[in-house]
Amino acid sequence: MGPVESELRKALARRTPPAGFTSRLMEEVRADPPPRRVHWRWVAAGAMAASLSLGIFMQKQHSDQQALIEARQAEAELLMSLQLAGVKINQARDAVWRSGNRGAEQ
Amino acid sequence: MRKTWLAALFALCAPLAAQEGAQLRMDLDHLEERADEVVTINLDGESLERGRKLLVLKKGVTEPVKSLVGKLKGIYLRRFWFKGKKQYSKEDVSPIHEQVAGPNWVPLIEVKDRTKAQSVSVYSYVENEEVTGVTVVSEDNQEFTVLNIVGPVDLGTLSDLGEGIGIPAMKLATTELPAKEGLLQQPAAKVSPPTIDEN
Repeated sequence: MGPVESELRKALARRTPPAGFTSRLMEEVRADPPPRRVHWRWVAAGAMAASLSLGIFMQKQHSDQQALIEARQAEAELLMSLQLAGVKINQARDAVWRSGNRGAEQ
Repeated sequence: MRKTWLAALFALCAPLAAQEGAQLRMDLDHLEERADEVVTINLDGESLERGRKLLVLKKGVTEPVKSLVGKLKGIYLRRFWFKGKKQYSKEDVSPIHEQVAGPNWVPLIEVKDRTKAQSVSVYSYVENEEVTGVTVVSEDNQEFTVLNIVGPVDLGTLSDLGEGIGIPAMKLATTELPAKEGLLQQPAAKVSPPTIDEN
């Protein structure tokens, strides 16, 4: 048996673990923090909150746009009505003046 | 007891049916079925406020126009166009005529061209010696228009608006209307009072 073989046998020889080894090992195992878990509940809640915020934002944008469209339509209707009233008043007034002029000429 | 209830009910309902100040009841739904084209505008409350806010912000709108628009309480327009022969009768439009013939309404201008069956009438609603509304009724064979403006109205400013004065240059609403011939369809030209020749 060579010196190398003898060294190997010595190193690999069966040894009895020191007293309390098993209990210490088990304690360490228990003390180890469990592997980090992904909190899907929070992820889902975050995603829901984000989509809700986006939804509210989109809704607000849409209602703002709708309000602007309605305001523009109201403005156009207001202007059209006032102008129409003005045109009709002027037409009536002009007709009265024309009639007055005709009377003066005769 | 029953009579008292009926009287109370009548008293409650009567003001609902009655005309509210310068605002006319536009009982013209029956004309809508016969008209080829209908324009309906009801501006009051929130819708009027929205339009007013935007109009007042527009560049070029003069102070008199802003003031006029700021005091308005409502604008109601019914405009009906008919192709071909006259498709409405005096009775059809009588609900409007009856209202403007009522108390507080004062006819300002009434122009009638019997040969062409055309007319334009302008009425003002006077309360406590103040004009709180104006109604314009325009009729011919192919058109019936009633425009009811509620609120203190300055006719001079309205007249200016009819000539495109006081508002930014934009397409006049009337240019989009069907072109027709006749007394009432002539462009509103600025008319000066008759001058006296001293020679």
